[in-house]
Amino acid sequence: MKPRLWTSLLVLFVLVVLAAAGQEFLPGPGRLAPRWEFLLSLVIYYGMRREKQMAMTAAVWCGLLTEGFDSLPPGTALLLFIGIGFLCGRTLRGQMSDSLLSCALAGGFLVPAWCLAQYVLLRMSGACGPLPALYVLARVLVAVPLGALTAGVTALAAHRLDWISANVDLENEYDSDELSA
Amino acid sequence: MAIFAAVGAYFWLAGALRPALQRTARDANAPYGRFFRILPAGARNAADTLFNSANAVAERDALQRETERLRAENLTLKALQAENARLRRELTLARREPRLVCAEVLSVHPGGGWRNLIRVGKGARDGIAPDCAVVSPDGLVGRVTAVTPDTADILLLSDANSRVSCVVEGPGTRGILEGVGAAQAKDDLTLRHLAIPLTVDYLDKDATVRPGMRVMTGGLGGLYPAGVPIGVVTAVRRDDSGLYQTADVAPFVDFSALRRVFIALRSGDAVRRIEHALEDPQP
Repeated sequence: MKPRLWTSLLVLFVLVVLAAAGQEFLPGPGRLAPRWEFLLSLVIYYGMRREKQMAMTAAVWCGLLTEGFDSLPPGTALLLFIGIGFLCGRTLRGQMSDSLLSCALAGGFLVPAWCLAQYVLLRMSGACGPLPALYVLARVLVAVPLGALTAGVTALAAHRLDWISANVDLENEYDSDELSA
Repeated sequence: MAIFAAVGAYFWLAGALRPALQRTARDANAPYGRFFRILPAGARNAADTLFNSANAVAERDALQRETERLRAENLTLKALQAENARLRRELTLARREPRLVCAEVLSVHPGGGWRNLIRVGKGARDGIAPDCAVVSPDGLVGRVTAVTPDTADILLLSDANSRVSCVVEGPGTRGILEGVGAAQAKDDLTLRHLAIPLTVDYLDKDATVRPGMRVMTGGLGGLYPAGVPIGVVTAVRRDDSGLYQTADVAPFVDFSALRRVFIALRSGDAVRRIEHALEDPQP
């Protein structure tokens, strides 16, 4: 089934709005993980499971929103999100199986990498003071399971929405003869 | 003749023996009578006990439920009472200082959480500008760093980039208050809680600074008005160089529980009024 562009864009828009609101306003799971990375998880889903054009569109939209919300140096979030979308679409997709679990695994190492990248960028720009190394390490380690969880749940929700909108096919297709047998 | 004699003898014997017979028969039967008297009474008592116990258990359960309901209601009322008191204090502060803009906290830790920032729902449209001081009824919160028409980012005192000129109340010695990225400074120093208190550096090495002394803003630099409470000294130590002292300060404001803050619009009158408003807690 060939996905339709406009429904795909509409679904993406809805998901991006929900992800941004959830990321900004939902309380994080704890002090070492102050927020859920829903926007990055969306980029991972589109990079791993959808076409390249949709992946880049998702990366640009999510990157722009992250630029607006966060106080990172200008342009860095957008570039990094596009890079992550490219990485997921070109490299990870070919190395991992085509399943939602792959999105969770990808989230398990991309979200902590993003977390560390944010700290490095903020330190380089002087916006963030020096923090204890143990604290930084703890934050990054906690981001591993939480990133996997966030990416997995986001991928599941996004996939369901895509499937309802007829943008993607069912995971498993049964032949009608098998059903009647 | 014999018959009459026999009958006479019979009636005489019966009469003579009758009392003894009666005594024996009645005494022999008495225990059984007592048994049959006790048995129904006991059964009656047992039945009463059984049914009354069931009633007592039901009554106890009902009282227990009522007690639990009242306890829950009491907790809710206590929470409402505390919130009422807090709102009254905030309203008092806002009424006495009309140049304080009350803003609700929308989100905490924007920017990935590496900076101790909060985002509030008021911005340039309400007259807020960068570097406005931010206070709460408990004390100094931080300063505004970025403003959009409808939102503002506030850098908390606990952020590692925060620097405030301050003075220790007792000896009057001045120092520089620095945040070290703490999220909350009321718990013990553990990695799990990451409760690193604020520090005041460059205190005069000969000044008598002791735990328990209050720390206020010093007013130097022009960003923060003087006399705004910041926290209380918890520990003092001499710096390695020996040239000055460093004090750990527990802030009055609980940064992790902020719901509403007050942003001081930058004007000379407003700054002076804030000092008076925070010094005098009476409405």
